[in-house]
Amino acid sequence: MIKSIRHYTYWIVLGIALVISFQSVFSLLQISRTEQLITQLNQGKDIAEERLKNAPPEVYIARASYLTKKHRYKEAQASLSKIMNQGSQKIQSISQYNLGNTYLLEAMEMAESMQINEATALAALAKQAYKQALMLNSQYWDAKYNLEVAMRLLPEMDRITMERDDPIAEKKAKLWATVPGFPRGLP
Amino acid sequence: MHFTLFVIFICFILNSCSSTLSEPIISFQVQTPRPFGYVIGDEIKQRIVVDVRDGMALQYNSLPNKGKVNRWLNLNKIKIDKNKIHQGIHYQIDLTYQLFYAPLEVKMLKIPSFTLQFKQFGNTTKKQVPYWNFTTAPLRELAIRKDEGKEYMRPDSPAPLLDYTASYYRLLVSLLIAFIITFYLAWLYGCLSFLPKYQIFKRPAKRLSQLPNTDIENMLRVMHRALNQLNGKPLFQHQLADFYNHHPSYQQLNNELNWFFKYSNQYFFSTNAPVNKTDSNKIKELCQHCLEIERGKR
Repeated sequence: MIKSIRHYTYWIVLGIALVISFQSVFSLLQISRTEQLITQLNQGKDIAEERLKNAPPEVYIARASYLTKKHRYKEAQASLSKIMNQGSQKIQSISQYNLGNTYLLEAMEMAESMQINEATALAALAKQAYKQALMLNSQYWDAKYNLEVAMRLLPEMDRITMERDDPIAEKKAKLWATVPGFPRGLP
Repeated sequence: MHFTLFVIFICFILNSCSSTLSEPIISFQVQTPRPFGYVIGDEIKQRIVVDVRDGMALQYNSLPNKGKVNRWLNLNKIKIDKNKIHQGIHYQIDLTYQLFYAPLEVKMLKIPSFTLQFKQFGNTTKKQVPYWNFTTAPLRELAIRKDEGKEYMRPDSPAPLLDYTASYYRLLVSLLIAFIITFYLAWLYGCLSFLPKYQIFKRPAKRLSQLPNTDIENMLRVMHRALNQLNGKPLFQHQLADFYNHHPSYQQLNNELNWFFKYSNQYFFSTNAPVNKTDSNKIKELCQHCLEIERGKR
C-alpha cells in the first residue's frame, strides 16, 4: 500500500513539475514580448492602445516617454496616471518622476507662450510629483535636480528665515503661497 | 571630630544617590548626523535616546506628527523602541526627516525643536529636544543652463527591464525535478535498456500475453526463466524461503508462487497433468504481480 502510494506520488510530482515548467515558459515568453514592446517604443515607434491591455507598468512608462518626446503631454500624463500605485517602489518612483517631467515640460512651453496661470499650476504639479518620487526613493538624483529646476521656476514664497520658521500648525495666514517667476537666463 | 566628618561624608553620598534615583529622566541624548552637505530631497535621521524612571510613560502625542513639519521639511518616519532596563525604561526614538528646500547658495536651516512629555500618576515631566542646525547647498548653478534653447533638465528615466530571474529559476528547478523523476520512472519501467535492473518481468509479461492460453508449457518455461533470472540461479519451491530473504517484497506472492511451483511440478512430472483455461490466466497474473513489485507499485 505504502509502496503504491509512493509510486503514484512520483507521477503526481512529475505532473506538478511539468505544469510549473510550462507556466514558467509562458511567463518568460510574456516577458520577452513585453520587452519587445518597450524596445519598439524606445526606438520611437508607437504601439496600438489594445496592446497596452494587461501590460505591466514598464510598458506604460515607456509609452509615456514616447508621448513626451512627441510633446503629447496630456496623453503621457494619462498613461502614467493609470499605473500610479502599481509595481515596485522603484517603478512607482520612476512613474512619479516621469510624470513630473511631463508637467514641467508642459509648464515651460506654456510659460513661453505667456500662459502664466496654466504654467504656474503645472509647475506646482511637477513639484508635487518630484516630491512623491523622492519620498519613494530619496537617492533619486534626477528627481532632486528637476525638483530644483521646478522650484526655481516657481519659488515657494514663504521663504524661511532663521528667526521665523514656525511649524505649519502655528501658521496664522497663508498670504503668498506661490508667485510665478520664470527666469529667462542670463543675457 | 573625625566621626563628625565621616557622618557628613556618608550623608553627602546618600544624598547624591537618592537624588539620582529620584530623577524622572535618568539620561537624555540627541544623536544627529553631520550638520553639512545636504541637498534637496535628502533624508536626515535624528535619534533621541532617553532613559526614564520606572513607571514614566512617554506621551506619543508629544512627538511631532508624521507629514509636513513646515513648507520645506517633511517627517517621513517615526520609530519608537521601548525596552525595560534595570533602572527604568529605555526609549529610542528614530525620526527621519526629508528636506525639500532649494537654496540659491549654501544656507543654514534648522530642524525645529519640540518637547517630549512623560507621565506618571498624573504628573507630567517635560524634556525639550533642541533645534538642530545644518547647511544645505544647491544642485544647480545660479546662471540658467540652456539645452536646445530650453532650460536644462534631466530627461525621463527609461522603463526598467523586466525581472525574468524568478521565472528563469523556477523553470530550471521544475525541469530538473521533472527530469530526475522521469529518469527514475523510466528506469523503474525498464525503458532504459542500457540499465540491467528492473526489466526482468517486462518481456516475460509481454511474451505471456502473446502466447495462446493452451500453450501452458511455454508459459511455465517463460515464468521459470524470469524467476531464475531474478534469483540469479535456478529457483525451486524448497528454496522459496531463501529467495524471500533476498527479495522480501516478493513474499506477498507466497501463495501464488507456491501454487506456480506445485502446478509446474504436476505439469512436467505427472502423467495426467491438469490443463485448465484459468491456469494460464493465473500464470499471467503472477507475472503481472511480479512486474508490479518490480516497478514499485505493490
